[in-house]
Amino acid sequence: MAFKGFLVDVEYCTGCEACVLACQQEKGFSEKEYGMRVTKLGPLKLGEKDYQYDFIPQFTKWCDLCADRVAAGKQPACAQHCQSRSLEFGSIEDLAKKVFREKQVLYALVDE
Amino acid sequence: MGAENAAEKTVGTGTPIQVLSDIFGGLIPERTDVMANERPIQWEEDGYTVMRGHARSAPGCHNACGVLMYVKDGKLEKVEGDPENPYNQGRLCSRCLAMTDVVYHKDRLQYPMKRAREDRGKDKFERITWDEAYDIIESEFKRISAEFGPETIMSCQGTGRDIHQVTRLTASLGSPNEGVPYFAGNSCYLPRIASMACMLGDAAVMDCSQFLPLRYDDPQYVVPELCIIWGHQPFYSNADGFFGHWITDLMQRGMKVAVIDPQLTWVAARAGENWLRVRPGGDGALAMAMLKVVIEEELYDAEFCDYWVYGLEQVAERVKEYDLDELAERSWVPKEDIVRLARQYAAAKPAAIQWGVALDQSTGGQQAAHAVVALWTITGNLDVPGGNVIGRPCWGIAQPNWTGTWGYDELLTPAEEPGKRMGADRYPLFGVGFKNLSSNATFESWEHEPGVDDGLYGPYKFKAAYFVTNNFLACMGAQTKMQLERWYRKQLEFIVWSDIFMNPSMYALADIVLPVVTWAERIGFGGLNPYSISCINKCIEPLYDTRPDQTIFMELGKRVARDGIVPGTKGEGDELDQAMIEKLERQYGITVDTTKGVNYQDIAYPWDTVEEMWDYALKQGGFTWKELQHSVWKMPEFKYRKYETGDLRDDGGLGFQTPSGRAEIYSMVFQFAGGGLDPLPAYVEPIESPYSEPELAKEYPYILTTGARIPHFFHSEHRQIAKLRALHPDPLAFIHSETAAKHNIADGEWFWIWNNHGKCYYKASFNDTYDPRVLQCEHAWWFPERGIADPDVEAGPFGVFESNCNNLIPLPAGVSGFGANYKAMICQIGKDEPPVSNVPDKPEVRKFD
Repeated sequence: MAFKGFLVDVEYCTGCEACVLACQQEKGFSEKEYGMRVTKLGPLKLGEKDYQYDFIPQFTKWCDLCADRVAAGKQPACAQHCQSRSLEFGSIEDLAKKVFREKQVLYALVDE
Repeated sequence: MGAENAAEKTVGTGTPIQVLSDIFGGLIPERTDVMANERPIQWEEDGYTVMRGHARSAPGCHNACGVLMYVKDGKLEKVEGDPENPYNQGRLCSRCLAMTDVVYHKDRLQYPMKRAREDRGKDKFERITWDEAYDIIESEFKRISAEFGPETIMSCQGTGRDIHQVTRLTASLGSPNEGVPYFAGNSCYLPRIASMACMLGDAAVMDCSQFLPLRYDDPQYVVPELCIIWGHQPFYSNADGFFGHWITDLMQRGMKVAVIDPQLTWVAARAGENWLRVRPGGDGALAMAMLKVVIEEELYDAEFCDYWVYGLEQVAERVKEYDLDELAERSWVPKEDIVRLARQYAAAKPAAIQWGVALDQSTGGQQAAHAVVALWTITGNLDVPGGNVIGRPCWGIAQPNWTGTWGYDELLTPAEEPGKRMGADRYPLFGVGFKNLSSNATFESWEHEPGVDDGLYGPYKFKAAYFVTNNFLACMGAQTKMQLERWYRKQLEFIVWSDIFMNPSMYALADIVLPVVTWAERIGFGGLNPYSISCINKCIEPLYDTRPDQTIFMELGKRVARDGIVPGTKGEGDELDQAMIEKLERQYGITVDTTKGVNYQDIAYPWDTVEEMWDYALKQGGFTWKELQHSVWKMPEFKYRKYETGDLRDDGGLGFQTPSGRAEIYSMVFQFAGGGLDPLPAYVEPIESPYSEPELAKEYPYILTTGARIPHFFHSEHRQIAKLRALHPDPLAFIHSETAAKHNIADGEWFWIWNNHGKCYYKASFNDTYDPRVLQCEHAWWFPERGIADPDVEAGPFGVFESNCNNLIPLPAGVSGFGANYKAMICQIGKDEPPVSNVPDKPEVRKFD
């Protein structure tokens, strides 16, 4: 298996949802179709001066990893426009080597 | 330019004060060091023609991101970020990524319309031609000008748009009045700009390397050790030429953050112990407390203060007057948190403060900003890499810069500007060079009865207005339903309105509607930033029968410019103003015939095309608009520590462009402004707070803050864009679950919020990170899907008055004329509609001393 997908840095996703719109524009989707949505966690109070407030993108089956863009040497639309640079596209095997701290998530999407 | 603009003018007390807005308007000598090469501006790719440009209004935005526009068969198919643009580096936010949905939306205004004055608020618009629209505007502006004086005609802007050139149109009529007359205390950035300009002679911004084309890779740049994000949610607001995600770029490069905010924002959750949950309106107390700690523990940069700062001793005396425990109590932040953050900020080298509009939006906003500017100044973080750095309009090109204005200097006499400007002689800071009309003076003038000594200001009342892409009933008007019914609908005899969509304010008031284009349909340059001049590049023809705002200004300007001789250009000897003559000859490339003089009509709009107008506006940069287009953006060379190299002062001397030549934390400009303002930083308690009015606060026990941005909407815009609205369908009020439980309000349930000024209706969203005494409402909501309604319906057109927290905002401004309580109201809440009217019998418009 040789999966392609994303390394999502949950520590830095600010929940701006630029990825959702980048995807909809690229694919010509309506407001009811999307390659991804962003889910919110928190804000939670975990203890004195300790909080968690995170966002994480989840992908739908509509996502084809922007095959046309990638074939033309570009990034998938969501990854290019991600304002916090928390979506890195590549092969899961390579991306796994880039995990260097907690709150980083590998999302396998397409088996090639 | 330079010498004649820097001339001292006498204002207020008779003390000479340099006109500060000129600092933003062209004092930098002409330079040609363009750090931008030609780059391809257009190419073919996969069946598309791709064009580079910048996203700069309409719709509104405070940024000017680089875009690639993909066009097929004359239609804009998609918009992507330009990876080569140093500003956004290939990124875009959701709004630009929905741009095609804006451009081709079915509700775009398509042609000019008129409506009789007596039908305001009714569905009685009638299609007309541009010529008819211009004929009506010309005839009404000329009538009103002759009958009441040109100063009774004002232009009013929506924020975050490249429409500041309208200042030239109003000036060409002979009116100095441009601004935001409905916006109490002019409470957006101007209080902070005023404090910076008076203290430093300039405005400063957090340095995220945005002045350097190589950005984070530039060897000059230093990543801040610590950034205090103060009353600000940069990722969603992208305020005032600041691309919010520069903050995440820097966090990824090791910068630590501290956050001062009543809400646990995303970034506050990453600040650990340094999230300081300030009371809305208590920012000034917190700033003064931090300043006290830094001074009394001698944590400041003594050498920098010794060389470059004026007033450290006086500020030390001032902070002695305050008790740290009391300041902590007023701010609702534990003292140990304040002391720790003050120490960490002073120790971090460099450290930056990135602040938001929360500092402006309380009675003491200007004084709080003074304390914050003092903090970054005495710690030696001023104009150093990674600190707060001084920026100026690139090459002195003032046109895209709101504070710079455009056209005032040659089209108005001193008797008109500031002589006739609304409130310039009423509120001190409006007299020292901020060429905006005063909103609070406008409020007073509406209520003033001519000939009666009622203590209110009122040399005249406004009679006509040109609202340029503005929706003040939803956005920034305080008590707007009252303003609409009591003032705007009755007092204004003639109202022109432009926008890309019909909005509730236009629907309620416009006599003439002018449909304008988006940034994809026009040429120009922007934006409101001192880093680069960015080309706005047309990729498609204007849709329907629409025109660019700037084309309208030029076409109208040619018709309405007044007939008269520019003083000092006709006659001989002492009658002549040589400086003005030289300026006109240099700027317009003309030779002045002093036997005839120069007529305003000949210089107001001497251009045949908008591109020629831009060539004129760009002249100081030494390049034409076409040349700008072919490099897409141009950045002037940037220098740090400009006070060490003589780059800030007109006379080329070292230091700052201030009376003392130093960074004045004791501000002589404040001291001598108008009737005199406090020259030192201070804490000013908001009016109508639990401390200033404890009895009233018993009736209204909660504090309401507003204005936290939603990433998908620019203020009231984008509500009709289905993809964006789907991500955020309803107006939310954030409330602690314990507070909600006391009033039997469930999560997701709609409830009422009210005070002595008005009421509003919101959907509850529980958030237990708020202080239980604090709520937050989203602002600028209206409901395009509801359509128009009878003007007598309580909720107003498109439901604009329903979920409108502005109904609760008191009108008075701070002593300087700046700052009003947009983010610090007192309120009560409940599930049942309260018996409160949004139109009080008599609004409180008194000047606040």
